[in-house]
Amino acid sequence: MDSSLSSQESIPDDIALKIASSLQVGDLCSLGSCSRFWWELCGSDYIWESLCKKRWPALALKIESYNNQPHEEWRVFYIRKHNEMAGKAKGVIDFVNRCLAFESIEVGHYLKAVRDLDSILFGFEDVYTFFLKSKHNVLLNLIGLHYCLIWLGLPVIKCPAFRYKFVSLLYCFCYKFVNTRFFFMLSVN
Amino acid sequence: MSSSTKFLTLKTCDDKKFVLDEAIAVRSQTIKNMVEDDCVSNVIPLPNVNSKTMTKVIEYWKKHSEEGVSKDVLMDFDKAFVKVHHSILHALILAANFLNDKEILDMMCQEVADRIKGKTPEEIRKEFDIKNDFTPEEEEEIRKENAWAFE
Repeated sequence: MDSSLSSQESIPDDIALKIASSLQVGDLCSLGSCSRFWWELCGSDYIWESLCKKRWPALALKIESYNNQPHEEWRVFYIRKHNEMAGKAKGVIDFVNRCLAFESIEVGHYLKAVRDLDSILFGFEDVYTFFLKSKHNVLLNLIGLHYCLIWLGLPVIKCPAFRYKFVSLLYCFCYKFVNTRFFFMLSVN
Repeated sequence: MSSSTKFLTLKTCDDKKFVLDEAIAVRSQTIKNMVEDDCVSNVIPLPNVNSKTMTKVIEYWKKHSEEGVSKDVLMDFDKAFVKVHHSILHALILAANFLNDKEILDMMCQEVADRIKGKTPEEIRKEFDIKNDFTPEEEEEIRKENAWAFE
């Protein structure tokens, strides 16, 4: 088995693991697709357990109890959870899209969508993955942001990527919407 | 230079000798332990490091030991330092691991991670010269299994 990055002497497993665990999920999957060695290494429980706990901190307690049983691999758990979240996100997105009229939305519907995200224990990465995409209606982006700021209490300043999104979305929002009702609602919050 | 400066001689696997100020050489935890344990006679053998790699490591040590060098200058130096062919990156990782220099090791691992970022498996293989040992069927299977991450 060739564990080297190149054709020279092999990189020790602990260093390979260190590199792999510093990657984002997408890059980790890409690296794991390179060769048998990297497939095995990138699928290790050590990496996926911490990815699970990082992505769904609210699940930490449930995960602790889950730890005591013989269980599926953490990677399999992560993918299952990801798909589950994708399904739930789709539910909220469909709901918002149904409620949209003339690119605006009733305050009640908007708040329901935000509360729904809370009830399904969405973490920041879920919001980022499923809501902050440019292909979505900007109101969906805003619901995601609103949820992050108010419900998750995410400080805008601490996350540069997020701040960038926030500023560009605000710009987008101001540009696209001159909806007094909506601004009223925002100021109430 | 003060008269108290002590020098160490390091010998790489290709029999090249490097004479280095002890204060600089102890950036390597491995060498530091040897010095502290008094295991150092005249020459410290480094059987896992070749001279080309050792030259790079010493270049890094010297720069980071310079007095009065600003943070910005060091940052620019580090940036240029890691811009090397992957085979040198690889050798530096092994050397830093053997010499137990966490600073260089962390920097190099970060560089590898940065080079992986945003690339497809094929691009990563090319970047690091990784041999694809999957059968086409296995590859297809893996592509399907990973589809969720790229939706």
